[in-house]
Amino acid sequence: MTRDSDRPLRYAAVVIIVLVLAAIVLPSIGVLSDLGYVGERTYLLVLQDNTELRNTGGLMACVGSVEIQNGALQNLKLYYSQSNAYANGTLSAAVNIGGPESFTAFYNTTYVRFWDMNVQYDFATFAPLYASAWQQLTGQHSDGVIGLDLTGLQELLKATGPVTVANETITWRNVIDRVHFADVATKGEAGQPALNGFLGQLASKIVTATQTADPAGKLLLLSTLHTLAQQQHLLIYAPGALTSYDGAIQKQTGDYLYVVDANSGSAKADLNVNRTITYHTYLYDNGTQTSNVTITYANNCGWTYKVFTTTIVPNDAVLLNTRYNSSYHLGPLVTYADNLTTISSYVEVPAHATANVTYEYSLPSTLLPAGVFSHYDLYVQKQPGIDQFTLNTAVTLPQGAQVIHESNVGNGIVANSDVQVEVIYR
Amino acid sequence: MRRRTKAIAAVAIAVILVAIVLLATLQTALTTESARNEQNPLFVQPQPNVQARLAQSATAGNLTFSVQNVMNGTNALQVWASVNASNHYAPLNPIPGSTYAVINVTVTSAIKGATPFSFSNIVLVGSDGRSYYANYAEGNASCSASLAAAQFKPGGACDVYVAFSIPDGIAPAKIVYTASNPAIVVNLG
Repeated sequence: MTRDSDRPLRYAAVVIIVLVLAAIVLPSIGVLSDLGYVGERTYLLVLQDNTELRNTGGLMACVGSVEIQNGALQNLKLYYSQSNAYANGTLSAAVNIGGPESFTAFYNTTYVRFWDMNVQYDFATFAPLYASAWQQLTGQHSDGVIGLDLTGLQELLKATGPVTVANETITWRNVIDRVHFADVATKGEAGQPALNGFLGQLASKIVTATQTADPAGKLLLLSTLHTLAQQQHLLIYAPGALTSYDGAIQKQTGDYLYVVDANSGSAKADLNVNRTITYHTYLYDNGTQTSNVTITYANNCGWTYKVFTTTIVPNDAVLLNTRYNSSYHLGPLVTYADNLTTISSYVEVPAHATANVTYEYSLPSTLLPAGVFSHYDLYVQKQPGIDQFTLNTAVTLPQGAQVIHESNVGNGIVANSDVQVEVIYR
Repeated sequence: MRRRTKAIAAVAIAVILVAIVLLATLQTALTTESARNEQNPLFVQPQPNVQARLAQSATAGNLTFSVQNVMNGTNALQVWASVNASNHYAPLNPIPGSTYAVINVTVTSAIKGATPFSFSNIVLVGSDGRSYYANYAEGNASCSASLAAAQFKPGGACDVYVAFSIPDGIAPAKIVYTASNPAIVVNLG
């Protein structure tokens, strides 16, 4: 029994609920459509071996494509990236990358092999270039690119449980080593490993396990995929959909720090190399600042670790000083692109030793307006492919300034995703 | 009017409490599911089987199998580095909270004819009763190709090192070769 005076309220409530549902559902339909859950989409795939780090996550071990038709995966094709079989072996797999300048200037070339083309600073820049090169090589058009690294594969197997591939039991504990065994130890006379076959079967089994999982299992997989995307072990470039999963450079306002490393000929070393980023910035009364960043590598491998490292900082940074503590180094090389400053070096780290490089640079003001207070923000972006890094941060305020609030300032922050550092002071 | 406001507030609190309980239940279900799927399966001893001890040979069908040594922890990594010295493409990277066990096995093809053998059919049974599956294998120069091809030449013999990732605190209890008939069970205790 309701009163007539309640009727407008009830109508208003219904309208609001309908609008809220529409706001939630309509974009979801767009996203689902873009991903192939409604209609049909073709995605390129790239398995990045993050034990051999590259800028976008790891060595391009396997490439291929998959079609998603109304949510169902079809025509999964995987190729050992170095086989060139995807190009029918007849086309040259050399690709003109055009940039970034730090890479082309340092290595004095704009051409790389197809499977070495992930030299861009982020997946969002790499993916359309990869799609374009793929189309040129194979004629196949795609709607997006999905990248997964070996840590991602490991985590997916944690969610599904063990799977059987060609009578062999693959678990999250042995999958990375088994990928390497398939990659290295099974090379036949033609030099072609069984890697693509192994990964193709493994992918099919994981997809089947996903489809047959009970509701709790499906939720766990969704949760795992979300975490992997947050930690950039899973990257999805789908223009118009899921743009937050494309690993793009997150430079907004305020201070910014992004260290991008590429293993430069030291094989499967990277899970045995620990990184520490130590950042100390000094804020001055006139709003300018100087910063010191030290990148330290602890190499636990029994051989020399060689890394081409690029530190990306805000636009108009001026490099004041560089110090190396390493057995051999080259650099620094300073370049500017996309409203960012990049400082690159080549560093060698002997077996069972540490090495570091320190850059000191000045910056124009990165402070943000915050009413009567001053607001310092630093966004530290994690490179895809790295499981974690240690972050030490210190902020020296102008003389006489008093901290009102701070977060993520201090030593020993172990980060497996991006870190936002914040200091509010007066 | 005040009564109506109180009723709305009570409903809102009830909805929030139900949501919290549902989320907590969901989180618990996911954690349980995750823990269950992460664990390796419990070992079920295959029947029939032949049994042996460390450094003893056991023969099943065409295959003679003898576990010479079992190493774990730092010792295993050192052994692996020595047998795998030139291969920078297969370093062992211990998972946090885990260690490697490396076993040294001698495998011989007992009679004429090619013998199927795959290191991936060797299962390490931990002191927790669970099955751990091979991560990687290295053979001596005469049989490294056989390892990849999963096929021994007639009369072939092989000195194989097989690495397994096991959780910290778990000791190897048995090594089992599951592909022969009967299966070969080597008790390490």
